[in-house]
Amino acid sequence: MKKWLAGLLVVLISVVLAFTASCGPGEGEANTYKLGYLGPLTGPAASWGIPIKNGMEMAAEEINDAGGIVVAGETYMLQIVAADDRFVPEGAVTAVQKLIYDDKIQYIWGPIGSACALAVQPITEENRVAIFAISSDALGPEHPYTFSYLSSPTARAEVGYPWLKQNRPEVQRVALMAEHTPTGEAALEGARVGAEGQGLEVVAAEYFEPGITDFAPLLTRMLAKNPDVIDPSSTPAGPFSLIVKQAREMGYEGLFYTSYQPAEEVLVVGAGAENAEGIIAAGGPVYPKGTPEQQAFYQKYIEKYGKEVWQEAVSLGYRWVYWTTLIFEQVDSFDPDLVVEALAESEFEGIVATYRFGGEETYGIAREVEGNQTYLNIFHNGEWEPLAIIPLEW
Amino acid sequence: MDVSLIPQVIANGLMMGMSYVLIASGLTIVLGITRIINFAHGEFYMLGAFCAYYFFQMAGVPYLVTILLAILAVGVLGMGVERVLFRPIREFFLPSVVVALGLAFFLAGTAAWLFGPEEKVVTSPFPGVLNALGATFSVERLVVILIAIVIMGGLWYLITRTKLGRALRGVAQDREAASLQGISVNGMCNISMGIGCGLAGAAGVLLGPIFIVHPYLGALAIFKALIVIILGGIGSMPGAVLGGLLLGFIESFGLTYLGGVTDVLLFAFIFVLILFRPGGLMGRVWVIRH
Repeated sequence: MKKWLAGLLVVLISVVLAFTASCGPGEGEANTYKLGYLGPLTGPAASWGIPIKNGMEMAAEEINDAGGIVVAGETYMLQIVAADDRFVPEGAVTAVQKLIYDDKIQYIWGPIGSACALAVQPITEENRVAIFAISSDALGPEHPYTFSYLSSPTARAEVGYPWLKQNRPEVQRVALMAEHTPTGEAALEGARVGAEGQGLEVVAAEYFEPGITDFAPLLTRMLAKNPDVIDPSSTPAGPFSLIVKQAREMGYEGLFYTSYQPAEEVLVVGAGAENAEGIIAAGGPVYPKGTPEQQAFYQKYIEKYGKEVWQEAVSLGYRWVYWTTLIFEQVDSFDPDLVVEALAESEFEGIVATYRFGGEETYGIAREVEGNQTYLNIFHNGEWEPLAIIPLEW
Repeated sequence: MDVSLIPQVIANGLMMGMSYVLIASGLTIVLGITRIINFAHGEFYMLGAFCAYYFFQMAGVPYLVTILLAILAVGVLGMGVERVLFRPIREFFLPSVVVALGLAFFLAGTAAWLFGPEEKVVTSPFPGVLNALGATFSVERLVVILIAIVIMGGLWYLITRTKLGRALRGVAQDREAASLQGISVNGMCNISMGIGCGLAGAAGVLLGPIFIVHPYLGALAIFKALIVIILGGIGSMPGAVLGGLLLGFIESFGLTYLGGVTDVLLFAFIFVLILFRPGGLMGRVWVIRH
């Protein structure tokens, strides 16, 4: 009986070993290389994270369809591994541990926001894992594997004021408002620098707590200063539309300018198309009305995933996959030290702009993404229309 | 201090205050009768707001019908929750707190899963503004105030002029005595939860088109509602009205003339109030019995 059992065991183990061996890459077959996404996929910030993850998957699929990438003589197919941090630091720490220790991932897009980026940074730096977060607070020479993958709120907030000064001479008095968060504070200060740098007078600068929906007292206080433009800086689309609606209800007829372009449908329903008419926003291109490449990219995206609330996000993860894998092939290695240095010195021509990593003067290390141009759009008849493309000085 | 702003500040305070009254009145009824702090009250408010989005915005149901549907749907859900979750642990304070908190997370998470996490906006059913007495009033907010007054009037009539209201008050004052008079304590707790959650649903459906709708808006609502009932008096309906209006006017005057320091001063005021009147302006002191 025992001999019979032992025989069966040997046969079973042999079958399992044979099956396992057959699952590995055979001769001429490609290996798999994993790239990580770390960010919100559920919770209130999911609408920011999902289009980024989708863009990464779309890029990986395109690269795989074209034959994958070749590094050190081996062909690799890309696989995107997504981990949900729910936009909370403790979620980010759990998720990054899974990506690093279980999936052995060396390059991660994310996380979004300084709280999550600072929470995961000790783990990623120690493991020589490069993260491409949306957070300029996490940058510094002591953190060589940390990048910021969206220009800082300060930089974004500044860009529209030279254009306003030149093209809207009636704008002289500026009222700034922002959420009382690190991002909001950076955006408001950036807007202040931008406005005052053009000789405009900042007549009000107010913070409000995240989550509030009744802006009437704050607007009463601000409108008493007779501003020509209200800049709610980094305020998300929902509260932004409420600010527009409530300010118009209180008789404000001036201009709105924002450095974070809200979604059309949120503005139309939340503020009303009439109230939102003429809002100027800085951000990405209006894809459906952009260059043929931008239109084709966006058409492909919405056919695959549907329309996104944060239009600018759809190209973020997409671009990152192409840029990073290009560097893998260039240095012919996945070694983080080689790749990180090559990335920091590279330029990448995307469909939105040409990008590089800068910020050495501010952070002591070139790790903040910079585009060579940004887009100003205007809200007209319930839709965003391209207004101007502003070249940025490098 | 710019006195020319005072009419607008009063208008803002009235509009904010009535919103708080609507949200807090349901919470205070449930607390007064069941003795459970329903931390999920904000989530019932959130469900009312989603009724505005799905019935009125998406399905095109007339707004007044939507209000009735929201009150009914959220009220019935509240009664179900009372029967299944709250009744078995009603006499145990800490477990009831844990269950109520857990319910809040459960409802918010389920709503995010079912409805999506992103913010939704509802078209205003009453657009436009009215300029009067040196202030600008949003028509939709005026309508909300009027409907809120009607609802609060109906509630006052129910509680003070009907047999059901006497039974509810009886249970709120002394459960054992009410029980000896043949009043079903379980039944009254169930009805109070239905009324309380129905009011939360009404608040949500009325305020949804004014503000934004998302699965996590309950957290701020319950925070404000708790401030209102602590200010006004725990378990007191007139206290909820007084507390709501007081909070609205404090915030309106404070945020306009003092800015961000208002919250600090508001809580300093609440600390002082609790020291001298632990039961709030119109309530009584509650003691937890072990």
